[in-house]
Amino acid sequence: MPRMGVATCIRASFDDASRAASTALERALSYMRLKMDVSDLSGERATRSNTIADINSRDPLFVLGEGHGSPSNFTGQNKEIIFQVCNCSELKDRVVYLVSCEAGDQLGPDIIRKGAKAFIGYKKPFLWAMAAIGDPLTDPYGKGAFEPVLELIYRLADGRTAGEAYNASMDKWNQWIDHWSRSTDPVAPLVLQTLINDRDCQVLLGDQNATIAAPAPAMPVPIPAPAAIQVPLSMILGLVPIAAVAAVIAGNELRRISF
Amino acid sequence: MSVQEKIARLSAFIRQNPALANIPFMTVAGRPVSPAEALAMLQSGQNIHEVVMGLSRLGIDPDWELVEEFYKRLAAARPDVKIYGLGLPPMSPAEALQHIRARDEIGRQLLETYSRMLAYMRERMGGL
Repeated sequence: MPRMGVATCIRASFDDASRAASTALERALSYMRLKMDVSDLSGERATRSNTIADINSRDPLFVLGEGHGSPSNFTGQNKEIIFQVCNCSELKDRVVYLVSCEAGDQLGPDIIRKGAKAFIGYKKPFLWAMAAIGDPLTDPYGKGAFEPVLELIYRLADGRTAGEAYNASMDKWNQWIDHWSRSTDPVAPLVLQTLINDRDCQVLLGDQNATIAAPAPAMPVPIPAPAAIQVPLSMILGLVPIAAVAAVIAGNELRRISF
Repeated sequence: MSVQEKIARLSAFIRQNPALANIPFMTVAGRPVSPAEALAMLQSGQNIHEVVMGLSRLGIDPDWELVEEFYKRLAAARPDVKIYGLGLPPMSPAEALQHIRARDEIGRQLLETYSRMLAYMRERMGGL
């Protein structure tokens, strides 16, 4: 039986889109590591053989994947197929979240048919806009697409049900859609399109009451910041992450875990 | 709903959703127009019937002309921004425009995405 509090994460990182998404998900992993036993198969390690070996040896309840996808498959590094329709029985009894284009269309339903507890993914392309290549969470246009993704993972790691995590994520999409609807930035209509698309294409299949970790209080996410700045200010400000302080100073939205 | 009520609702929509004010959202007299342009037409008494009909059908029929016009405007205003996807190649607005003009698979996906935004606009307008 899959083990509660154990997760396998697959993160492709070989082109601009997968590198950006993988970077954004690094924060989710930082949070999960505070509460769970996490195995991170990133970059060259994001292969099918490594994934199967990790699942067989650690028996994780939660499988999180980021990579390119299509209606019938999910891929890892260099688009190597990791899960595909009719070849995903190793996900039986697990909770699966695939941050990927279109896998929610055919692969997600097949994963549920093969006995997975719950599946979360996207029925259509998962899209975002960015002003420059890099971390979407520090990009003015990319941030809104990944915060809902992280919110979902944070809530699952907090021990919330798949349904609660999904709803928290939808709330986050709606907050960002409202935000960009009021914007006069010329890129706002494009950002809105991607956010509305991603929100409307996010699906939760299977058991809405499935959980992956024991209930636990929310915690601040350890957020990477340039070491040269973080160390001296951390000494002054205690353990408050510098990125959170910067967000307050900039007048940005400050959430318990994400902003 | 009277034309005056439609004008009031469209004005409120534009005020509350400035990001959506200049998005091509219907075709009037053979050309794509935005909510701001549609409002100006209603206020000046031009093409009233077409605008009213267009409002009632907003987002129902996917329209290549609208999405093409959108990316044409975006390519002129912000050629530097890029669209990324975990299944699509990264695209500048000009590259997106090429796919839309070619009516290829990526262009079709961009059209679907655009249609979802029009449906969202329709919802925000509260039925015009």
